[in-house]
Amino acid sequence: MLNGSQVLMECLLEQGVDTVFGYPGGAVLNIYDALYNYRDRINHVLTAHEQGAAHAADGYARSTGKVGVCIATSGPGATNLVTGIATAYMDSVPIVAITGNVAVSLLGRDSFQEVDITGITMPITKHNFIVKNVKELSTTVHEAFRIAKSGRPGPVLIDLPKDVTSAMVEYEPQSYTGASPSQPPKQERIEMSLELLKHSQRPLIYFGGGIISSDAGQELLMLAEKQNIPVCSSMMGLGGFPPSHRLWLGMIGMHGTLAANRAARECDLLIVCGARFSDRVAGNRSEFAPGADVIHIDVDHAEFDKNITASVRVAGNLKQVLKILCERVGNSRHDEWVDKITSLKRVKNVDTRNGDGVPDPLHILKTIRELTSDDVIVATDVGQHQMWTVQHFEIRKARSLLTSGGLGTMGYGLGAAIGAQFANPGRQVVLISGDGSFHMNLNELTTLASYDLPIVVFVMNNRVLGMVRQWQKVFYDNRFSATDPKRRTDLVKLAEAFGCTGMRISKVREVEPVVKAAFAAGGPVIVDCCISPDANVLPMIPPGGTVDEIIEEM
Amino acid sequence: MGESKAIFSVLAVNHPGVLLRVAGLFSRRGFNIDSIVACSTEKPAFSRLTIVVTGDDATFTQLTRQLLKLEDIIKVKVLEHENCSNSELLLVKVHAAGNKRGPIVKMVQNYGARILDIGDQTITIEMTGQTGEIDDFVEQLERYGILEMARTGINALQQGDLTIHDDEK
Ligand SMILES: Cc1ncc(C[n+]2csc(CCOP(=O)(O)OP(=O)(O)O)c2C)c(N)n1
Ligand SMILES: [Mg+2]
Repeated sequence: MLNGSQVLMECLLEQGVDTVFGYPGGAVLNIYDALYNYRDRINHVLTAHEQGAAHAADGYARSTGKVGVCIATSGPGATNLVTGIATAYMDSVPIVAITGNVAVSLLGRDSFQEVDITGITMPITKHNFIVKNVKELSTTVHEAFRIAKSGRPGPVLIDLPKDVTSAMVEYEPQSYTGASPSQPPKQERIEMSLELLKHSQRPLIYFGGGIISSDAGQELLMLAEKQNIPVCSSMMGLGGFPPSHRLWLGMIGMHGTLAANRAARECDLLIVCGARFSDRVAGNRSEFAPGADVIHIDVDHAEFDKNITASVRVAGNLKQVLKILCERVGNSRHDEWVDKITSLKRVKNVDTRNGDGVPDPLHILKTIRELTSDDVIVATDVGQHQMWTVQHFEIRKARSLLTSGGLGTMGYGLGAAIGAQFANPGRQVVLISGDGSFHMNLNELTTLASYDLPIVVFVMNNRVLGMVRQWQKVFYDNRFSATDPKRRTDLVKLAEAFGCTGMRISKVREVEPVVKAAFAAGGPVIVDCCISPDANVLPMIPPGGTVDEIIEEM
Repeated sequence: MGESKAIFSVLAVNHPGVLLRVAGLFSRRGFNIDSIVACSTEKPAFSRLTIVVTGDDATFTQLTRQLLKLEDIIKVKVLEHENCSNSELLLVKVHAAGNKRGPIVKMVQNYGARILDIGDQTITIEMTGQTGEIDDFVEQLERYGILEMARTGINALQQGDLTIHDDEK
C-alpha cells in the first residue's frame, strides 16, 4: 500500500520525470513529504515564486521536448501558476502542473486557501483534472502526461485535494505512456499538395513552432532544398531552419524582414507548416498572401481556416507529412523568384567606431553571439530587447530559443532560463531581458544563486518600457504615459545583494571585454547593459497593415 | 455570408464540468448559443449536449473542430433543422380569468397542447413541438397575458436509421 503522494512520485518516475519545479505549502505537505523520500530520484527545484516554477517547467519542456512539471500549493500558490500555464498554452508547450487543494470534505466551503483552480485554468489548459478518489490518481497522472504531449502539445493541470495525497491505495506499477500517434495524412491531400507544388512559380514556405515541436527541421530543409523554395518562419519557428542558408528569408510579420513579408505578398503558393497566422504574422488577414494558394499542414485541425482559409488542408504530424512530400516531389527550380526575393535580404551594420559612445543593443547581441557556440540556449523577456534578439541573434538550433510568443509574458525569461539550465546542465544558457521585464520577476535571482546556475543575464537597460514607448512614439504623438518609470535600481548592486555577480556595460569599448568576462565568471552573472531609450525595433508593419506600409527607418 | 441556425448534437463523456467546458469554449471564441440542452443518454458513461447556434458555415466548421479538441468530447454532428427530428418543451402560465378561459382551452386543444394546472386566475399549459409551432402558440397566448414561461430549447436526433454512434462514411 502507498499513499497518494507516493503514488504520484511513482507515476512521475514512470513518466521519466527527474526534475520538478515548485513551492511548498499546507495543501501539498504530503506531496513534499514524499518528495523528501524520493529526493535521490526526483530533484525538486525550489523557486522564489510559483510563477517562476511554471516558467521553469516551460523552459525545461521547450528546451528538451519533454514534459515539464511544476507543483504549487492551493489558493495563492495555484493562482500564481496561472500566467505560466497561460504562457505555455499559447505556445503549445507540454507541462503538467500539480496543485494541492483543501480536503474533499472542505471543497466548496470557501475554506482557507481554497480556490477553484480547475475552473480558473479551464480556458488555458488542454485539459485539467481534480482527483477526488485516490483510486483514480495513477491513471489520471498518466493520462495528464499523455494529453500534454500528444497531438499539439500543451499544459495539463491536476488538482489534488489534501486527503487524496494521504489516502492509502494498492499501487500497481504502470508503464510509460507515450504520446498518442497522430492519424497519417490523407493520401488525397498529399496528391493535391503535390499538384499545387508542381504548378507553382513562386512558392514560399512559412513555418511556425510546429516544426520545432514535431522535430521536423531536417524534413523541412530537405523539401526546401529539393524544390528550391524560400523559407520564412514566425517567431516560434526560429531555430527550425539554418539562418545562414541561402533560402532563409528570416522572420515574417510585424517585426519581420522585408524579404519575408514581400515574399508572402508576392508568392503564388504558401506552404504553411505548423503555424497559425497570428495577428503578429498576418496583420491584415484579407491582404495576406493575396495571390497565393495555401497548403496548410498542421496536427491541430482547428487551425485550418481559423484565421486564413486554406486551399488544401493536410492534417497530420509534420515530420511525417513533410517526409512523404519530400519523397514524392521532384527537383524543381524557381531561380528567378528565389534570386528576386533573397536580394531583399538586408544585413544591419552597427557603428562601433566611437568607443565612448552609448552601446547599440545589436552590437551587444552580436558580441554575445560571437562568444557563444551554436549550442547556446537563449531565453528572452518581452519587449524591444526580445525583438532585437529574435531578429539578430540568429538562433542556430531547434529548441534553443525560449521566448513567450503567443502571450507575450514579461517576466517569463528568468524562470524559463532556470528550467532550461536544469534540463541542459552542459549548455550555456543566456537570458536577454529588458529592465521592465526584469523588474517583474527578478526575485528568481535568488534561485540562480541558491543553485549556483551559470546563467548569464543581459539586461538591455534602456530605462524605459521601450516597446510600449515605441508605440507611443509612432501612434500616440510622443505622449509617453507610464513608460518612463524613472527607476533607480542599481542592477550591479542588486545582483550582488542576491549573491550573483554584477557587471555593467555603458560604453561601446566595454562591450567585448565585459561580455567575455561575464562568460568567464562561472556562476550567475547579471550584466547591466546601458543602452539608449530611443533605440527602435525596425522594420515594423503597423498593426492591421501590410508590407506596403512597412516602416524601415525612423 | 449567409447566417443560419444549426443544431449541434454533441456526445460527451459524462464528467462533471463538461457543460462548463463547452459553454466556456463558446463564449471565449465568440460563438453565440441560442439554446443548450444537456442530458444523460442511453449509456451512463456518456452525456449529450444539443446546442443551437447561429452563424455561417465557416463558423460551424470551426466550432466543430474546436469542440473535438476538448478531451471530453467524443463526437459532434451538425444537424439541420429541416432534416432532423427535433422538438422542444414549453411551459407557460397565462392569465385566464372568467370568460377568457373558454377560448384558451380551445386553443390548447387546437395546438395539441395540454393543461397542467388550473389556478383561480391562471392556467399553466404544456406544449411540445417544433420551435416554430411553439413560437406561434406563444404569440397567440400573448393577447391573454403571459405571466411567465419556460422553454427547454431544442432537442434533436438524426433522421432515419443513423445515430450519433454510427461513423460517418
Ligand atoms: C506581464 C506583461 N505586462 C505588460 C505587458 C505589455 N508590454 C509589452 S512590452 C512592454 C515593455 C517592456 O519593457 P522592457 O522589459 O524594459 O523591454 P524593452 O521594450 O524596453 O526592451 C510592456 C509593458 C506585457 N507584455 N506583459
Ligand atoms: Mg526597457
